[in-house]
Amino acid sequence: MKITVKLYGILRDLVKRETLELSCEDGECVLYRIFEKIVQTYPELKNYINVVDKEIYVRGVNIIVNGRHIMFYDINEIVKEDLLIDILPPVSGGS
Amino acid sequence: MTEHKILRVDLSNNTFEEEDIPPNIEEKYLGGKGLVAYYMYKEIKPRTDPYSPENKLFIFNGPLAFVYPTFTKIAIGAKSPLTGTFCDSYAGGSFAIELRRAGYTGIIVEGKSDKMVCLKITRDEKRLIECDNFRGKTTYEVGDYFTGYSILTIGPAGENLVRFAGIFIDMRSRPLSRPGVAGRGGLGAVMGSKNLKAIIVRGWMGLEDLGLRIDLEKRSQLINRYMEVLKKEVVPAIGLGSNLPVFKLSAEAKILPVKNFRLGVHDKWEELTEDGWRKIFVGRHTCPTCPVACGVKVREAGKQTGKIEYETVAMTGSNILVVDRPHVIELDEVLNALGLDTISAGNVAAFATELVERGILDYPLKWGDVEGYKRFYYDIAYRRGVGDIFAEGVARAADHFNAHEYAVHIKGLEIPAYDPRGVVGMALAYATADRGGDHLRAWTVVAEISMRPSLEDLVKLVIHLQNRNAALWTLIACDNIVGGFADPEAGTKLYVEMLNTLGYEYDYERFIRLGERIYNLTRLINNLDGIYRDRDALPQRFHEKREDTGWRIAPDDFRRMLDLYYRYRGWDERGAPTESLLKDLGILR
Repeated sequence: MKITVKLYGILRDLVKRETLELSCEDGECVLYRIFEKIVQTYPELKNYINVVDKEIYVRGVNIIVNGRHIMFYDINEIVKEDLLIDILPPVSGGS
Repeated sequence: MTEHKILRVDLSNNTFEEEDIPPNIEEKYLGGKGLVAYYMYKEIKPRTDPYSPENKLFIFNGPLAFVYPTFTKIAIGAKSPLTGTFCDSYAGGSFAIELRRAGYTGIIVEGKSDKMVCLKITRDEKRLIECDNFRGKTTYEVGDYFTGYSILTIGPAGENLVRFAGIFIDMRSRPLSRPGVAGRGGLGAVMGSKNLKAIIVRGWMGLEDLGLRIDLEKRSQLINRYMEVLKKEVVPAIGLGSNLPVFKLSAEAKILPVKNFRLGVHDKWEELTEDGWRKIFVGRHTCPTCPVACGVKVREAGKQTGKIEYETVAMTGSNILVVDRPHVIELDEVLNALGLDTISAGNVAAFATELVERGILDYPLKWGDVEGYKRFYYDIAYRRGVGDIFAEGVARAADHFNAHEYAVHIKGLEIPAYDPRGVVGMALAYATADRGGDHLRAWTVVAEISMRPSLEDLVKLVIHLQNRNAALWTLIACDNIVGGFADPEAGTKLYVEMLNTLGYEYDYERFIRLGERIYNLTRLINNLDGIYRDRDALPQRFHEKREDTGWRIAPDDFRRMLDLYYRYRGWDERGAPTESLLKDLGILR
């Protein structure tokens, strides 16, 4: 399965890339494992995304998977289609 | 002189009464939003016409005003002409402090004058002055006339009952302190409906005259601690000021409103960032007693303003494709002078432009058309031509044109400058905000905490922020400062310590519980006005795929989020607090 990750703002600056291309094999394509792989491959993201005990933790970032916010997914469910993952940087400092 | 006194002004009969706030009520609701909610529930019958004399204007400061630095905001509330719901809005400036120095915790304005009047409060007199000569005057003109007073006023838009007219504080062509605006919900039109053009106050009391039982030594220690927090945490977080740093972050996250929320970014956004405004920065304003100085004064190409903020730049800038600074300044100044809320105005203008683009409206307006927008805003403020339709706000204009699919509002209140399709927490925050589509009840766009991106955690966060902010608005803490705390819980606890030097016995949990009581009370008020689940709804636009990114919030996903919110709140499936919850919270029916 093909996974395309788009980074914005400070995340793009940190990784020095706008788009990341990854893939996963059948059976591995579970959201929390995909994010494990993303963070392992790009440890610069660790301040913002972490996976602990099959749970994804985020600090300020929003993640949108195929146009739908990640919170609406079961992150243990097997993914059956190519993914476009948008990772939005934190928007803090105001009210 | 007691510590907590209300001045009740009946405009119909030209009478004034002073009354004490019952100690048990004051202890239970403290000030600001708490007292606005309590008195609105007690004194305004459900389904009262917002423009009738039976609607009232509630104006309250908080218990820390003038006692501790930075508590400069005033809470203003009424039944909103835009939404028909509970509405509270907050403005900085000098009014809260001057009112306190005049010996009042609040003013309740009721009835309706048959002539245009101004209310004057000084040591020597409390009276209504005939103000017919101020009819049609801008907020700046009124402010410039009443030098030496703190002034709360409306512009022509409020007089003409534009449903998104605001109330403006200390607007002056050469301001001495930071001007403030209670912009949201059309409270300026409520003032206009009462023929009340302005309230001017000059306080005379010192701290020792207020009859406070205060531990002065402890107060001094807390002020020192607070100053350190402001210096180390808040001032660096605020950057240039006026929330302007948020613009770049919103643009980079692609959640900026562009073309009536059809897009999340535009290619010329960099001119409107904090760095862009810094190039033309000429000075700062601050509210009395506040060392933070977050008010930003800018000047470029002969245009200047002392009041520029992120929401304004995004809503009446990028949302209508006005993307150069001098023109944003120009529109901002027009709106401030006329007395219009810049968030609603930017939405209304974008909605109208989209109608023109789609051939639904015949009016000379196109994206980025500064002269067109200026004319449009004047047409609205004076209700000329189609301006009369749009003066009713987006929801009613959408009824008129049968164009609800392009109307971006919740419960009639136009949405602020964060596209919730990127930051989904804001969708729930907007939909469950007690005054309609509002970002300040729960600004979930926070980076300070690490959390699971789960529905459960997000719903809990929204509820916590709504409760916490309702509690903070009893004091009334400045949102700009709270937004800059590195540790918001520690900051809130510091405020509770300040409160307790006045003899209160709050702790953090009880303080948050106070916020929960208030939030349930405002929900009860809205329930009684017929606001239930069907009104906790997103605009259709947010359920549709965004043109540039394809992001959307599916109706079923939103329903799940709302179900969980009601469950965690202890509300029934219609979105009403249960009787047992109200009883537990001490809300008597």
